[in-house]
Order: sequence, then structure tokens, then C-alpha cells
Amino acid sequence: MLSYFIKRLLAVIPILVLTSIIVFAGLQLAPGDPLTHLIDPMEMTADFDREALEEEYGLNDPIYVQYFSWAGSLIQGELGYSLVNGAKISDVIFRRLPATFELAGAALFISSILGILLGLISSIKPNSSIDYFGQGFGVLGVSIPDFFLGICAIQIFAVTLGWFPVGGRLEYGTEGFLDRADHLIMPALILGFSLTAAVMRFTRGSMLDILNKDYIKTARSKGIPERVVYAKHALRNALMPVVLILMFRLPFLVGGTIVIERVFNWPGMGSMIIEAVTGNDYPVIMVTTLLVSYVILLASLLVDLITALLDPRVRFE
Amino acid sequence: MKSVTTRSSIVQKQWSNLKRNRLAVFGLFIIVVLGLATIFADLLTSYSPNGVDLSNRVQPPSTEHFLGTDKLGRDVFSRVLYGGRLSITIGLCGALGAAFLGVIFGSIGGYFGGWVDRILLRLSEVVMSFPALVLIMIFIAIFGQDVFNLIIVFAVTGWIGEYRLVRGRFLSLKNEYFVESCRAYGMSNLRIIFGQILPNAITPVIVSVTLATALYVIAEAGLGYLGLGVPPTTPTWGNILNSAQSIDVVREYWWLWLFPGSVISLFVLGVNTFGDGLRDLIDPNQ
Amino acid sequence: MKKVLIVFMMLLFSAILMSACSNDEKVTNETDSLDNESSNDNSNDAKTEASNEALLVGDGNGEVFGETFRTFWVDNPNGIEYWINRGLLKRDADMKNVHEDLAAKYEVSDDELTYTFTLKDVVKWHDGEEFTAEDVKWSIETAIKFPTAVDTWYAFDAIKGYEAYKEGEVDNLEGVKIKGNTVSIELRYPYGMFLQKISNFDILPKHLLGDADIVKLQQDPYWKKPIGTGPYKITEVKFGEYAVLEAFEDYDGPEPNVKKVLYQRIPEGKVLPKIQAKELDYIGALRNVDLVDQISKVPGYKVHKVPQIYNRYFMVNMKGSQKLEDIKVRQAILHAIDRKTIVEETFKGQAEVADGHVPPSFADEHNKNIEKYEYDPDKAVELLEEAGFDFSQPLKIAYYYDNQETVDLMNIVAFYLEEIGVKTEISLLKGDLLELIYHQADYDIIYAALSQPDPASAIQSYSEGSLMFQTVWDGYQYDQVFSLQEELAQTSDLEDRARLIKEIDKIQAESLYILPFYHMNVYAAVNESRLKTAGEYGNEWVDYKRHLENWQLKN
Repeated sequence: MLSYFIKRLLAVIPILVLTSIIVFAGLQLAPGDPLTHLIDPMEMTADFDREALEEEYGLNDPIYVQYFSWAGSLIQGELGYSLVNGAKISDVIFRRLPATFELAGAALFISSILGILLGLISSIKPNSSIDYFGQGFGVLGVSIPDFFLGICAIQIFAVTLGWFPVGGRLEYGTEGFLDRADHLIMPALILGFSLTAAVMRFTRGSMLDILNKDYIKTARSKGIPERVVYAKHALRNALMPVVLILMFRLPFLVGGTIVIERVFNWPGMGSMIIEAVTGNDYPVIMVTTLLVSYVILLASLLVDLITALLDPRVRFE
Repeated sequence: MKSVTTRSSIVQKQWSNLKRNRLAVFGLFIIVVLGLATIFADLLTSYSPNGVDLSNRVQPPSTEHFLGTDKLGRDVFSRVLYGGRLSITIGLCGALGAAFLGVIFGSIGGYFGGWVDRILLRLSEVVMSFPALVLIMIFIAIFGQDVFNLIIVFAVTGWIGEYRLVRGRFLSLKNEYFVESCRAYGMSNLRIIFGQILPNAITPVIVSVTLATALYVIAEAGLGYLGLGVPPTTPTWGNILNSAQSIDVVREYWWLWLFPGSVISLFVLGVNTFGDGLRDLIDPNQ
Repeated sequence: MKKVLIVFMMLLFSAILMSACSNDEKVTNETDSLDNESSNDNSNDAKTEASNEALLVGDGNGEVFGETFRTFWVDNPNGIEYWINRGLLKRDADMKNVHEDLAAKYEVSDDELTYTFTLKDVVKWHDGEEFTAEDVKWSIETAIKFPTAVDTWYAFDAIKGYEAYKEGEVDNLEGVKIKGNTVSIELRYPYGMFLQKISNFDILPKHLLGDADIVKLQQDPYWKKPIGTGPYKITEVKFGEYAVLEAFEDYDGPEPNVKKVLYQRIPEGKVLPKIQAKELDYIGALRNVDLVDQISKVPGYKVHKVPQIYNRYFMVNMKGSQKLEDIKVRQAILHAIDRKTIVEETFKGQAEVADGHVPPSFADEHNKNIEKYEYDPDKAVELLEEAGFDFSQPLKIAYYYDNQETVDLMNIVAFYLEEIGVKTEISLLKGDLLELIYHQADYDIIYAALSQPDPASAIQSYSEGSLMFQTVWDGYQYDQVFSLQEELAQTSDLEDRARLIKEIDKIQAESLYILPFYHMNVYAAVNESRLKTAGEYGNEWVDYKRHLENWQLKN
């Protein structure tokens, strides 16, 4: 087991390095210039001291020097500074991360509960009207763009009915989680919706698969009540792949978070990435993308390990 | 070449199978109707999608303007039609491009194995570790906003699914008896890959292209909404929705976002149900 | 059974459709009452309490409230920059005359080369340290070395010894001398607007920033919670959300009535909801037409037009584009576009068609006799044909503001030009704008904007030293204008200045290196049901006399 673990870990390292090089190289290619973000190009005079600034920002070093100095400080936990507003990137991330975790976590929670529940119900009676309802829900979930759903929700629940605020996360004088729960509900539900559909489809498939297995048939023939068959025998075995699919949805969750944070003006990592991309803020784009991809890589490593733990056959492949 | 006749009869049989799957037929119906409507947009509306009419700004739907007019007095119906033409093209071309890359990489990696395969596998893992949207945003930041660039970006970031499918098929097929015999006849590797094995591995790719098209139509819409898609002066479904970023459009001018948004959803719904039906047909076990 | 599903999906779709449509009609009728209700529902006790005591100031400049405040020497508003800090002088809201601020008095020598500022006796920084003449000298010297500060904004380039100091040849800026609590600044040549320019320059604390790396000044922790000398000090900052300001107890001027201010920087799209929820009392620098229009309809709120120059125009690539070399082509473009209708319809009267650089609201400096190009497509075609214009080649139009308003305008312009048979190719410039606009310059005309506090600054933006004349207008210099501009720079008499401005404006407008489009209005919005201001509204980016001490919250 340990040797498998080490082997897997070693295989990840080149990917980590390769990823960082790709991110770095990509952003070197970007024809971006953070300076004109600070000053309108129409108001620059000819004597504007642009070269001195570029020199100091290290934009003139050879590329590999820039990469190594960047990667070196990255390893030391020094993530650098934003070119646009001079903020320490690590500070920004720490400040933004809770908001994103809150939103993504709530969405993940909602979608797992709802998705598994719907998947279970549809699997009990395949091809019944409940099943079709669930399946329809599933198709809708992957078909309606989440930002469009978000706009509809704002129009209906925030503007017309006034049940929820239009956007934002925290307002002055409100500190506690309960105070801002009303801000969270809509974006979390919308973000969770497409995820719910995926989880539901997978749970249903996985359940149907297991229910056809011989041991379930044996259990049924022994006269064990349906309820127990579902709860004890089928569900437990069907849930494992479902947990894994949640992990695999992580990249989609990140993508969805970016859009939803924009729709609902949620001050998280997603809006930070958009701001960085539109403002040509290389260091911020580089670091956040890299971190996100690392998180996803580690998650998939975790998935592999859990699978290996549960299914010894994997290890000896 | 007797296989030709059997193949066409298989197609006929599958078509009749497909017809029995009402959902898939429903999906196909939506695709065809919306597809035709965008192709023959010139016949359906006399308004140009860029025809500015400043005296008729933000008019709600009426008999004259079926879906109302936008902030510049342009006919929304016409924009949705012409925009759909481009959005669907982008989605389809992106999916085909991704499939092309995936098939090439998958068949080469799967057939030859060894270090070629290992490199491609690592590459796919790297691409997979980025959230697609972030990757697309970075690509656009680098190469600029352009229809062609967007298609390339979709292709470059989206080939993993097809790659894995094709590679898997190749791994299991390359040692089959018919491949061995081709080799024995001295057939070149290229001919074996594309003439013999690929035709046996391509069916799941068709389903995957269908579903990817849906995904890319949504992605284009999302990018357009964020203002990061194709140049905002070109009408696409995403760019039409870009105006919905401001809250006053959301609350005051519902026809500017509700209609385009619904049409996108409807089209994607059609593609998805059709794709699902196709998958059931090809691989009934799944 | 699958029919059920189809029906279900159809129903869901139509439900979304119908709910949105039907609800909307209600919204347009009942917007106000609904919004008041919803805001009451949402607010909890803590918030209501806070809003009662604090003045709610916002800034909707499109940028989010970053992780630090922007350096005060970069021409980007922090919204409350001049609430917490200040310079030696302040201008009137109309940008003409200056008044004492950190300086108790100022004297100008007869040759207009030496300016002597006597500082106020006791001025304290928010951290209790005393403000001294050292701070002034240090600030000027540091700003000259700080790369992102453009020296000409503050007229530093006119100070004696500027070049030697800038190049690092000497360690001391010769022209700035301090003696006790006086600061004297000696100039190389008379500079008519020196007082106005220097009034906009913020003095920063030497004791806090003196050791900072000049180039990385923006990264100094100081900007997390800047210490100033202004009437308010920052007591709490939550970046991305708000900052709390409190009246500074040791302020040397009159004590403000409002003791607590809550500052929020809000994305433009969220300004209206905030206002409808009465969560904003004052917001300046508003330039979004729809937004201003909507705010003016919210009961209790009033929008005030601010004297500020904000011009939108097309800059012509004279050197790189052969197509527009003939002035008839440039005139034709102006004749082809119905600017009046655009302004009336899409800008709802919040802009005026521009003929020159100075808008009519600056009545003294506005020149009424500048040639006007009315909408006349027939004449445009005629002019193009006279000039032998090649209709088969598209006109390349570039822009670099990627907001909806600009995109809309590009579409309108393309439409009008196509009406007279001119094809267009519109592209968004992204990335290294300086390179793309001035050096590569792969366009015929580019949509640009110019924001300046006063007519003279606007006129001087196109001077000999400007980047345009070294790149896209290279070879198209006009000596007559340059000598007039030099004369203007050295003239301090207001009437003479106005005459010169009018003259230069006319010559520049006739040459059409830029195609003037319109003057945008800029607004400040006030919740007059709750806030009584001093009634003076000016350019938010400039340190003008806001009379903050007279602002009052009504109960």
C-alpha cells in the first residue's frame, strides 16, 4: 500500500512542475501591460517613465530567470504581489478563500443531498413518472446555463418577490453566518443545481447497476424487506462511486463558481480571477490558476488512493 | 465490399430504434427547427442583426418586433437568429476540433504505446487539472478575442474525453486478430490505425461530439456574458446576453435576456436529449 | 410515459417565461414601494443602527475595492482620498481659483517664478505626529522619482533643477527650499496654472513612508490604512466591503457635523440596488447614462451635474493611415454620423455634441464659433467622392474600453458608416495599450476619452510633448498651436487664458486630428432626504472645496 502511495505521489510531481511551467509560459505570451491599467493611455505624456517601472517590476529579466525567481519564492510560500493594486497575493487569497469555500461548500452540500435523494427515488422505480421527472430535472440541470438561471432567480426572487438580496455577501454591521445566510441561499442553490443533476444521474446509474447484482437478488429471494435491501445492501455500495464523482466534479465546480460569483457579486476567488484576467494582472492569474490546479490534482490523487484502499485490484494493475 | 449493404441496413435499424426513443426525437426536432431557423434567418426576418434604429430603443415585444428591440433599437429576434448561427457553428466546430485532436492523440497513443503514450497521458492529466473555464480565460487573454481563436481554444482544452475513449478502444483492439493479420499483410501503421481500428472505435466519439457541442454552446454563452468571448461587436448568443450583466437590464428589460437565454437553454436541451438517446442506442448497457 | 417528461419540461419553460413576463409589468409600476419593502425586510438591527449614525459614501467607478488604497499620486480616485488627506491648497468646484489648505497663506513673486507657502502652525497627522515642511519637500521629491506619478499633472516639470534631480544627477531638488514652516518653490519659467496644479498634489507623511522603496511604494503597508491630515481618519477597513471613517479629533479646520462615515466601493452594476435600498447617501463620479437616469427617479435622491471635462472622440492615425490623410474624409465621417440623435436617444440628454475640447458648461473658455459638422449623409458621400475615397477598403476602427456603452457606440458608428457605403472593421485593443495605440497603431481611427479638471489641461493634452505628436501624429506638428500653448502655459491672468484657450481650441478643431464626438456629463448623486451637503459638487478626482464641515445628516 505504502509503495503504491509513494509511486502515485512521485508521478504527480512532474505534473506539478509541468503545470507551473505551462502557466508561467502562457502568461509570458500574454500581450498584457498592467501599466495602462493604472493610467489612461490618453493621458500619458511622452516623458512618462515607463522603462524604470518595468525594470523595477522585473519585467525585463530573461524569461527563465523570471520563472526561477517566481518558482523559488513560491516554494517559500511567498506568492508575490498584484501588479494592479500592489496587494500581497497571499493576503488576498486568504481573504477571498472563505467566501468561495462557503459558496462552493454549500453548493456541494445541497447538490449531494438533493442529487443522491433524487437519484435514489428514480432508481426505486425505473421508468416510472417519478423517474422521468428526475431524469428531466437532470437534463435541464445540464442544459440551462447557470448564469441564465441566476439572472432568472434574481428577477423572480430578489427583484419581484424581494425574498433575497440581489447580491453581495456581507454588509456593514453583519458579522455572523446567520446574518448573511440570506445572501448565500440563491447563489448556492443555482451553483448546486447543475451539480445536482450530475450527482442524480450518477446515483441512479450506480443504484440500478447494483440492484442488478446477484447478491441483491439473493438478498431479495431470502425475503429481506425491500427497505432493508435498499438501505443496507444497495445504498452503501452505490454511494462510494457517488462520493468519487463529487471529487471529479471539482473542476466544474470551480468553473461554475467563477460565473456565479460574477452574477451575484460574490467577493470570492472567482471574481478575483475575472478581475485579474481583465486587468492583465499576471502574478494573480498565475498564482490562482496554479493553486486551483494543484488542489484539483491533489483531489484526484486522493480519489485514486481511496479507490485503491477500497479495491485492492487497482494497486496491482 | 459487402459490408456497405449491411452497414446501411444497420443504420436503418438504428434509425427505427432511435425513432422509438421519443425523447431523442424530441431533441432532434428542436435541433433541426432551431438549426434551420438560424440558417434561413434571412427568410424569417427582414431586420438586420446590426440594424441600429435609435428612435426605437428598448421596445417591448410587439407585432413589429417579435421579441422587442435592444438598447440600440436592433431587432432581438433577428439578433437571436443570426447570433445562433454563429454560436452553434462555434460550438460544433469546437467539438469537432476537440474530437479531431482527441482521436488523433488517442489512436497514436493507444496504438504505439510506450513513451509517446506516456507523454500524451501526462499532457492529458495536466490539461485535466485545470478547470476548463480558467484555461479558456487564460487562452483568450493570450490570443485575443476572435471567433477562430475561441474554436481553437475549445479544441485545445476539450480533447481529453475523446482521447480517453479512443485510447481505451485502441488498447483493447490493437491485439485483436484482425489487426494482427493486417500487420502480417505488411499494411502500414497509418493505414491500420485510420483504415482498420478507428472505424471500430469511432461510434462513442459521435455521442461525445454531440454532448460537447451542447457544452460549448453553453461555454460560449457564459464567456459572452462575462465579456470574454468573441468580439462584442459580433452578435452571438453570449454577446447578446452580455448586457444582462447590469442589474437595470435584468429588471427593466426582461426581453433582452429572457428570450436569448431561453433559446440557448432550449437548444442545449435538444442537443443533450438527442445525445443521450444516441448513447442509449449505441451502448444500451450504459 | 416519456410524454409526461416532455410536457413537464415544456411547462417548466413556460412557467419561467410567464413568471418573468407577468412579474415585470408589476415591477415597472411598483418599483419604489417594492424596493422599500424589500430593503426593510433585509436590514437587521445592527445595520439600521449603523445607517442612522453614519454617512454612507460610495464610489461606483467600476473597480472593486481592492486590497489596498491606491497611491494618492496616481490619478485614480480612491473615492475618499480628499476626505482623509489633502494638499497645500484647494480649488473651487469650478476649478478656477485656489484657497489655502495646509498652507496658511501663499505668495507669488512679481516675476511669477517663486511661490512661497507658509504652512499652518499646528497640523497633525492622524497618528498624532506633527505635519512639517519636511513632509512637503519629501513628498514632491519622492513623487518625481515615483514612476507611476505623471509629473506634468502637478507641474513638477517646471520646478528649477527638475531634470537634474529626475535623472539622479543631484540628490536635492534645487527649486524646493524649506525654512521653518515655509516652503518656497522656484520655477524655471513662469507657469500660469502652477497653483491649480500643485493644489491637486497630496502631501504624504515622511515619517511613515520615508524609508519605503520608491518604486514599490504601492506595496507599502501604509496603503492598507493610509494616515492623512484630512478631516476624517480611517478607523476600520474591510477590503472588498467597506471602510469606516471617523472625524479626526485634532483636525485644524472646522469640525465636521457628521462624525462617522461609511465608505463603500461598489461595482457599477450594484450602485442602483444600493441606492434603491437607501444604503448610499452620496456617490460621485457617475458617468453611466442609464444609472444616472435611474437614480434620478428614485424618490429622495437628486443627481447634480459636476463641472468636469469628459470628452469622447476618435483619434485619427494620421501617420499610419493613408485613408484619412485628406481632411475631406475626416469631415465626411463627422457628417455621416448623426451625433445629435445618438446623444438625445442613447445618452438621454446627459451629453452634448462636441465641436472642440471645451464644453459649453465652461462658458468663459468655450468657443461658440468652432465649425460644426451637422448630420448630412449626402454631403458625406460627396466629400468622400471628391477625396477619391476607396470604398472597397474597410475603415479600421479600434477601441479599448470594453464596457457595454462603448461596444454599443461602436455598433452605432459602424451602422452609420455603412449607410454611406463605408465598410468598417472594428477591433478591441487588449494588452499593452501603450504599444498598441501609439507604436503599432494598426487602425485608422481609435475611440478614446479624455478626462480633465479644467479647459486648459484639456487643451494642453495635445501639446508638443504629448505622445501623439511623437507617434501617430508625427509629421503633422503645427507650430502655431504650439507657440500659443506655450503662451497659455505661462499666462496666469484668467481672461487672457480664456482667450488663448478659445483660439487654440478652434485651430485644433479645424485640423481634425481628432474627431470630436461628445462631452459626457459627470454627476454626483445625493440622498437629499437624509443628507444636506454644502451644495458644491465638483470633479471627484480633484481636491476641491467640498466644505465637508457643513455636511449634515437629517433625522
